[in-house]
Amino acid sequence: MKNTKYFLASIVSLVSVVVLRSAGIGDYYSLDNIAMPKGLDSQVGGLDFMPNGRLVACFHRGEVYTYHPKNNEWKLFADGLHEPLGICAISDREVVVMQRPELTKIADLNGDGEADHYQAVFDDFGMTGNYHEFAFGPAKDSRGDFYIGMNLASNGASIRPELRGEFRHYGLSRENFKSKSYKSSSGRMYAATPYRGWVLKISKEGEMTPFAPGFRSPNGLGFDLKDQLFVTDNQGDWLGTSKLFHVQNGRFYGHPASLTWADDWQSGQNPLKVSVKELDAKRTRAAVLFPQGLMANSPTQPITDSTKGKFGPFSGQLLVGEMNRSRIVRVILDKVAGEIQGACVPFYDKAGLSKGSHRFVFGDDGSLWIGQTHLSWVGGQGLQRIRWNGKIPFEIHSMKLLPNGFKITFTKSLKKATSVAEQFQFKRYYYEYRQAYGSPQYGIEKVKVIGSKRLNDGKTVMVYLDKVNPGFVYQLDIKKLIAEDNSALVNPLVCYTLNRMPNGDDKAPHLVRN
Amino acid sequence: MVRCETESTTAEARLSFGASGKLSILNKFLLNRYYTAVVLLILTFTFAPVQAEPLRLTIKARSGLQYDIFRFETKPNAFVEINLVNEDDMAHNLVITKPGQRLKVANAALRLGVEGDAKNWVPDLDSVLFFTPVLKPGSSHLLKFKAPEASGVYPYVCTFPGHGLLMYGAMYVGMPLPDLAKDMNLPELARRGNLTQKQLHAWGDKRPLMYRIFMPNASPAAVAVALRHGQNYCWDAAQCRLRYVWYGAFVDPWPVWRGNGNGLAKVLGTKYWEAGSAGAVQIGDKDSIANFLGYKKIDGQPEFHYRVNNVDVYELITPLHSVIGIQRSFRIPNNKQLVSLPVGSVSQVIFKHSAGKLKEGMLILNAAEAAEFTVSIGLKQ
Repeated sequence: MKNTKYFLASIVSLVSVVVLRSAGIGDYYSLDNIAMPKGLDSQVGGLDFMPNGRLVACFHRGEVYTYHPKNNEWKLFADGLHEPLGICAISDREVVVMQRPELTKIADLNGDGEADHYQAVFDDFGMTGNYHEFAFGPAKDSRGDFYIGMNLASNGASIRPELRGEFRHYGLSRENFKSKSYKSSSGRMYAATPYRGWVLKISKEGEMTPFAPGFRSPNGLGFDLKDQLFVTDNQGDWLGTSKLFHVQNGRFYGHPASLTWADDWQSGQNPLKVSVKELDAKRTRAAVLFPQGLMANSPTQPITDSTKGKFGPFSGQLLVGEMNRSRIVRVILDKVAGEIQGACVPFYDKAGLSKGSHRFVFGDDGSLWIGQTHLSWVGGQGLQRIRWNGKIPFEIHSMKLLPNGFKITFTKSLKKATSVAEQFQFKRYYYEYRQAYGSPQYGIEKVKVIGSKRLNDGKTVMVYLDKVNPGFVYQLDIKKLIAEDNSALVNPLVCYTLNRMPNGDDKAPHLVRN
Repeated sequence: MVRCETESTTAEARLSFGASGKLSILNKFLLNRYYTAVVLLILTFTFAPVQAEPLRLTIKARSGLQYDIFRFETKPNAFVEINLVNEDDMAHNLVITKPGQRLKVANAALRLGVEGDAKNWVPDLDSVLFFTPVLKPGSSHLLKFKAPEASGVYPYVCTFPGHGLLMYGAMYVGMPLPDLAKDMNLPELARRGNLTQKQLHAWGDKRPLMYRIFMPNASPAAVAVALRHGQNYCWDAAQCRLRYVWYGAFVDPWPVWRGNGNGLAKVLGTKYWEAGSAGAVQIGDKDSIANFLGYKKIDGQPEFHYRVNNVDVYELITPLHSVIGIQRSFRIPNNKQLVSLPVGSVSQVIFKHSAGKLKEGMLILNAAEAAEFTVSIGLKQ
């Protein structure tokens, strides 16, 4: 009899746990899988909408298709492209595509629905034939200029006998790239031809500006609503963990291989021989770090929620794809002492989402279209669409740094009984800036909540911490938080990248080992 | 026992790529036909005194200069009915010759010249046993004949100009079929299973077809193009020049596409010309660099546009019709200077040019000649 009681009690508690946990993003958003043309390798390289409402997508084997959401009709627009990884619709008849060798404007001039003109807009960058020299973008600013990302080559392969562009590598001669031991001097990722590791600006008139060096694998360029450029980069050599950079002209973003192509770089100087301290002083830190294994391992395109509320309560914020799991990350930006930094929080987990979410575009109706890829790594393929169902999820909406803590705003009022000191669990750590591949988390420590205050709106909490210093990721795990309407917090994890204090202090010597 | 063979490896490859229903139907159809043939044979033996049922086959002419059935078996003196269906976008016929006479007949057809069309491109030779007329795209013809008495391997071939080197198969009369991979009576691609027949796109076989893709013996900005009549070429968008030419099947892009792009597409056919160090068109200053500007598609074929010394150059490459080969049509409309086109080694091919003078591997043209001229590269047979 007693046992039965316990049994029942445990069932009841189990059920309540289940109820609590079942608050998934799928309760607030619905997901559709889009049927793809039969026989197509549907790894998506780029997505956009034409003004006439047709979706336009480019694919791994070089095809560009349009898709009409009204009648679900796919139509071939162009083909024969070399690994296109980005597309931007210019009109109902024109798109600009970033393919491996070239930024190409593709136009259907005779109006039969299929492209007939392929114009090389920009191809004045180098290629060694190394597989890792992907070309990303284009992202378009409000003026109509394009920004593209030039991947570094990987020492998983060498360079080919014929190159395009000048060869320059101050650690290794072209001849020595043929030797088996080239890996010891090439660098894990290398930039042996022009503008590898750079973000380039191509004006709509076709003029190129070398915009910013320091990238490794910038597979994602996007603008926010203030015309600010954001670029993701992938964990690896010189990147302790994956990152989101706010990219500005002339700044250096940390991976040194690209520096040999800077105008002011001293000829013959091997960037791998420059001290890490010197490079650290030169670099601009990432606005947001995505903790490896926790938030994202291979971030993709950042897209701004430009739907003015049609996609839910995160208007103006960035969403970022992730290759390795069924996730879309949300980024909350915070301008502190003139520089952008901020936090990341899981936005969409599982609930039908494939892995490998690579490219995004918002439809006029506020739905988010998602194209997946894998390119033989972890990922997926195909096209999905997410729509908001109008119900507000209980989420962390924004997070702002205070001199002594954070101001955190939720999408809904918190239950009165919330105990911030118990339920808001902070820890902090950092990733080293170093040549080695990735970095463990260093300096992991709990950070005590020493006080809190709830603002009158019921949604905002000021959390005061015992240690607030630059050069750390502040990770917050929120336990069992319930909104006033009894809904559970959908995503209780947020990671804030603290580069700079409100007083401008950004000293973080611990990021470089002595 | 009657057996006909199709590209089963092909069908499998397609299935693994997510085949359409059409293909499964094709498979079923082939199986059914196989059983039908077996049943018919049983009937034949049961009613031996009655005239034997003929062996009925449908052979399709497909794009890429191929018959879908590339060999079959029959008994001596058996009645055979071949329904030739032309599914390609070019004209084809089917000529059955005496053993070992395929090339002789195909070459004799080439020499028919202006008379060819009227004669269905079938030469008057004893080596020709049976033949269909030339079929337009989308048409078919039923060819009925009695198999020869003498056992042997009887080739069948398309004698339409330029096709005979690639488009053929073998009728085995009173002889067992050898191992497919070792059957030297078949085109090379049939022997090794035709890689181009993998379903790589949402469309089926298509020519012209163009890929920008990593290619051997070219810069990383290479272009591969499949033209009609089984012609193919590699053009280099970094150097603005034709790199090499081959006939037969196009490329296997799989080494590039199967993963992240680490690999080179494989040339499937037979290369017959390579530029070597012969560079791009030169205009005026010999050290001028060519800048690639893109291409326009004309009837599915790219006309490349590039600029040399600030002069616009347009180059369209099309297949030749009466022989295996390609034609390069150049337009250099707004130019006042001497033009020289390095043509590379042309002693092993049939090289023709519409204007200019050939001098030490260079075609030299004055500005007026260069406004519009062609050069062609044909296979010597």
